Amino acid sequence: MSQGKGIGVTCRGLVYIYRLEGYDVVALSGVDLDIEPGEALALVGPSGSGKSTLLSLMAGLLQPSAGRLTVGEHDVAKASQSELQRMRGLDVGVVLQGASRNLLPYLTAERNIAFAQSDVPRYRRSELLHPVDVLRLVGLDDPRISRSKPADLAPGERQRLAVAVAMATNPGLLLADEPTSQLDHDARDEVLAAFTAVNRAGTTVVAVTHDPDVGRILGRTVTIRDGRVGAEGRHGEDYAVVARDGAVHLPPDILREIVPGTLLRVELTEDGCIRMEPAGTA
Amino acid sequence: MRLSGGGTGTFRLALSGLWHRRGSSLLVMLLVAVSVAAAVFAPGYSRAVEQWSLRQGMASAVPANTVATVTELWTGERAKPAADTLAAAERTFPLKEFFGKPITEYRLNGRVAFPGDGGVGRLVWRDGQCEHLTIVEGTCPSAPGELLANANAKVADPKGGGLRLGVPVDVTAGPLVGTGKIVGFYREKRDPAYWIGREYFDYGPPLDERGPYNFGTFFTVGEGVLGARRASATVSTGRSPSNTFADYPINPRAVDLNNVDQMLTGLRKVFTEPGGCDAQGRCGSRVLMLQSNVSAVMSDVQAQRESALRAVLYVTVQLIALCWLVVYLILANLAEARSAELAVAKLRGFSTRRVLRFGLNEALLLVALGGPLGAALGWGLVLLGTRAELGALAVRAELRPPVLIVGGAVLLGAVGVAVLASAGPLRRPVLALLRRVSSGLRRRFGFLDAGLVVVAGVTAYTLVLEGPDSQLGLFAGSVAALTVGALTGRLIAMLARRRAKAGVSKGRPVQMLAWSGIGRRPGGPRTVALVVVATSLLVYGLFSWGMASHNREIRAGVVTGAPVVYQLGPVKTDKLLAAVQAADPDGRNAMAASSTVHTSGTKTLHLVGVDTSRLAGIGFWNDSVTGLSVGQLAAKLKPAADGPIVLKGQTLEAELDVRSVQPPGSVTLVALLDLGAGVRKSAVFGQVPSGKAKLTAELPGCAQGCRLLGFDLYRGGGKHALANLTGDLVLTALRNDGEDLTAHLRLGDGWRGAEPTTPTQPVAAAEGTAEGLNIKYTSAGTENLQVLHNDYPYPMPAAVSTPDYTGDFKAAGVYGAQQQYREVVRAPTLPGAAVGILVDLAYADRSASSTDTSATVTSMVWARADAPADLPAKLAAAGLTIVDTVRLDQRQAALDDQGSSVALRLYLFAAAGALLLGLAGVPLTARPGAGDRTYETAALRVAGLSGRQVRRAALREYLILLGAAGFAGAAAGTATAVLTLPYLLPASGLVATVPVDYWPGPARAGVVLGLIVAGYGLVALTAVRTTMRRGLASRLREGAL
Repeated sequence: MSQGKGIGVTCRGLVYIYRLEGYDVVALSGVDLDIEPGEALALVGPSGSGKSTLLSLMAGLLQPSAGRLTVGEHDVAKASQSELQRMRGLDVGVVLQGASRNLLPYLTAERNIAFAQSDVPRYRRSELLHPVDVLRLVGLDDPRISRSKPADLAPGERQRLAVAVAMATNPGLLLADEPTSQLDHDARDEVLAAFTAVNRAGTTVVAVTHDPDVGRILGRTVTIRDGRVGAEGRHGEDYAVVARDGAVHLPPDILREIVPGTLLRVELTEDGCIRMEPAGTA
Repeated sequence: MRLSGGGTGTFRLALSGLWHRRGSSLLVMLLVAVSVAAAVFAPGYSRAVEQWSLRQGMASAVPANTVATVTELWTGERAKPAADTLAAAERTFPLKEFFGKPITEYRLNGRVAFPGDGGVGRLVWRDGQCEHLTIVEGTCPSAPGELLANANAKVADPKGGGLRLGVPVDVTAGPLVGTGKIVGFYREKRDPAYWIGREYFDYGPPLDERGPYNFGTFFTVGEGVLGARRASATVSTGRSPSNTFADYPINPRAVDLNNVDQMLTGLRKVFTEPGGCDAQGRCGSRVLMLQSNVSAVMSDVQAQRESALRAVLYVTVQLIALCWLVVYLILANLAEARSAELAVAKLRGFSTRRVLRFGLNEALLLVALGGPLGAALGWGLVLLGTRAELGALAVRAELRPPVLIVGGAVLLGAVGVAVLASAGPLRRPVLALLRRVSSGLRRRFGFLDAGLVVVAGVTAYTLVLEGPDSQLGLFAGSVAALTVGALTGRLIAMLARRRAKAGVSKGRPVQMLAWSGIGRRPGGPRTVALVVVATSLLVYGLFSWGMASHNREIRAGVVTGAPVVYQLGPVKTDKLLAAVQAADPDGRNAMAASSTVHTSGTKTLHLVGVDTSRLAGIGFWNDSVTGLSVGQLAAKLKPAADGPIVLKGQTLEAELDVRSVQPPGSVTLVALLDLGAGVRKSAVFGQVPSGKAKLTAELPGCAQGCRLLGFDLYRGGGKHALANLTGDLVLTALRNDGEDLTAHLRLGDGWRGAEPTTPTQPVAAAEGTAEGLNIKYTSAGTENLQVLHNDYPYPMPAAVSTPDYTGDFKAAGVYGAQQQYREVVRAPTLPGAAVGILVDLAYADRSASSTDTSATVTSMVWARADAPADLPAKLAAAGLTIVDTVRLDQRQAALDDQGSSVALRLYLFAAAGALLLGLAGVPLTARPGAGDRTYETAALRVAGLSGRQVRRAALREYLILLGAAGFAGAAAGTATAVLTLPYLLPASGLVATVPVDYWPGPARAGVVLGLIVAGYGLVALTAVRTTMRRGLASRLREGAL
């Protein structure tokens, strides 16, 4: 059996608005993001910043209000519900927050994976790993575990099982929402090891997390702030990101010094640096 | 079903899910099974109940009404031996199939004479007679000429002689003339099934003192009677007496719904065949007549069958609706509970078809498992119920197409319910499925609610419009309850939103939490609907049972007439009235009554005469029926009239002032006399002269007293037979053996000309004046002129319940002859008659003109239930012979065995089932949402609310829901009962128009109310305690839910 090839994600001016009774909430207000196939990435940011919404959009659980979102060859904004279903069934694996919500409580670990594989078209069946092999991929190669039901597993094992189930159809993109929350250190490390193994196998991994260690281990972090990409981190280093429209999110520590509404003079210096100087300070 | 290699095939997956939710799954499966069982049970058991009604009706009917009597009539020469009669009858009529072994009887009426004096009697041979008689002395006759006489004849005869063993008796019975010998004496051994109501034991003094003494029946051997008949056939003028009977008792077990029509058709056949020819060449024919009242019995049986059928169907429809509702509610909540699982399937990108399969597999598997189980259960119940309740008459369950069709339809309905219940979550997107707290009940009144209201209205309207025949009406109760349930749920949800906001604005967290919980939880309206429907069915069952009991009492009451009815041997009405007066001078315990059944063509009239002065304290009369009290009824039936003119002694003198008689000497004055019991005589004064005259008439048979009916101006034969007559005369004085009766002649409205018998007949005008009774007449043709004394109101006032008669009408009198009536009261039922005519006994006796042999007259004494125990002895001492006693409680017990009552027990079953389903359904429907509720409770505690506040809020939420639902359910059940019961009329049978009394009584109502309050209160407390116990902060941790 061959491992699937990772698929990339492209967001251009991605907007999502929650329509509520009497008012709207803009969750994403123009996200530009490119995720390369086979990349591992952590979406970080404060609560309510829109990262889970972005994940749901990538999973095809929501459709953009505006902008473009391409997941592999799927144009999520234009796709029909059945196409999105197919996308989740073949190309995208999703791990929701709370491991139990990803699992059928009355099936064993192995049968949970088999269940996830059960609607894969025949022509793709040959590409599927055996449930035991999927479990082995996330480090759950103990026969006891494969025969256990979710409630009988430790929290870390349960979370890895959720990852395994998401990987059951050998997707090119694995999306995980808070995969390490409420886990102790050891369990978290086991889960991250599972992600690393999945990513190493070629699958693109995107995880929403509050845990900076997750971003560090995955290699790339994208900070979502106020519905936009606020910053990116690469191997522990944080960078501001220039959006396609030229917008740049200043880091929070600088924003503490420069209040909103401040006029900045932006200059390209001779040595190639960019100088930002508040007006009137010269 | 596809089984994948990974072991996640639909079937196995469904089994795993069902096992995971085994409690709820088992319940759903059982409910599906119960609904299918009810569907299978309804047609199966109702068929059996119908069968029971039919056979029970046959078995419990008076044997005389169900026996088929073959009578042989011959004209001319008899060609066939008697033995051939039965063979011919059985070839012609379906006797072997539906009737038991025949009892043959030969009977000859005639005179008997013995040393001393003679009398009338009859010779009877009835097959097996001695086994059904108590022979008090001597032996059973074994040879022609040996006679078995009534033991009363041994004691004394009116002339002081009396029969003794060995006494020779001269018999002249029809063609039989000979001498017999008394070889024994018998007394009646009560066995109506053998004696079938024919006259045998009517030994007694003559009704007319000049008439012959009645010896009743002399039993003898068959050959003696038959031989005489054979002889007579050859020497008679061509028609032999029709006195060979073969009585075939019905075999109720042989009659069933499949062949009853065949039986009734077969009984209507006629058998005629050519007979032999005599020496003169006169040929005759043989006719076999079959007489049976089975058809009349069938009408009551039919009413019972229909009532039973309606009761079974109505209960079953409601029970199935309730089961479906509970199945729907539990499956809907299960589907809600499976939202996360559906989300998993959708998250994994399953196709719509696969999601549907996954979402429905458990529900459909439960239905698939519950269906056959229910079918087996239902059929088992039919078999069990039939054996336990209906086995006595060998009623068997029949597996007929309707059973399978209805069972299959209900199973399909259950599939529909399962799909409907799962539809909501199946439609939702993944994120909505994963939402932990409901976004609230957005939907207000919609098409579904409007549709329910319309359907409820249509079914109720159809029921009211079409009555009990309405098929759609069967659904009225359940649809009404569902509608009320749905609307109550909506209203509470609407109210909840307002009350929750008020709680917020007033800073009352308990109020806010309770009402917002009601307004937000999808399970709330479902719980309300469930409790409404369950309570409605419970209350409906209570009312219907109360009404059925009431109807049974009424029916038993109107059929018997009084708590205790003593049926008497033949007795004159005046003697009966006098005897009751002697036995019960205060008039508080006993009352004289009579029952006359007169058949003319296809019409049968039941006429009951009662002593209206005593009716109030003893007989059954429902004031509510007509708005008349029993006192008012008595006044209407017995308006004032002149007292009877009773004549005694030998002579009657009349003084006349004849003003004109044309032609002179054309009429003869005759006094019309009534000797009692319809026996009429006349006393002739002589030709009416001109001018003033005094005439005297000899009174025949008035030694013991007779009543002057009036006067006849008799034109007689001769030259005045066809003449036109005119006259004007005054009867100025009337004396009976010295007693002056002239005052009666002077009463203004004391006399009337007799009613015409033809439309053109002129009548005499009669008027009481100060001078006396003035009679004026003009008569053409051949008619006599009669002037009658108004010692009873004319026309006879009558309370009428039969639709055959209305206004002023002619019908049979108390002794069978036609007479004029006037309807003064219209009532749906009458005591003792149910459907017929009720009159004052004394007036009825006076107005009855003659005896019609087609009438069956039974004299009775009606008595209170608490009448002194020695009343029968007193009645006997007063000269009355009690031949049978009918008690109300016996009648009610008999009604309890009737098909409609058997069917009505289902109402109790349904009511108990409804209570259990309601009580069990509330926690079970709430159970799937218990996790969210527990989570919420834990969150509220973490948020800082005290446990007491959270507990009070939860308790208030439950109490509001259950209280409102219970109230609405009780109201719906009451309204449904009031609306539908009068049209369904359980257990009313023939009495289709009895007043409806719904109130089941304080005891029953109290028990039911207590059960409702205690049951649902306990459910609420338990649910709240469980929620509080589990709603701890630790529940908020991931994975703990």
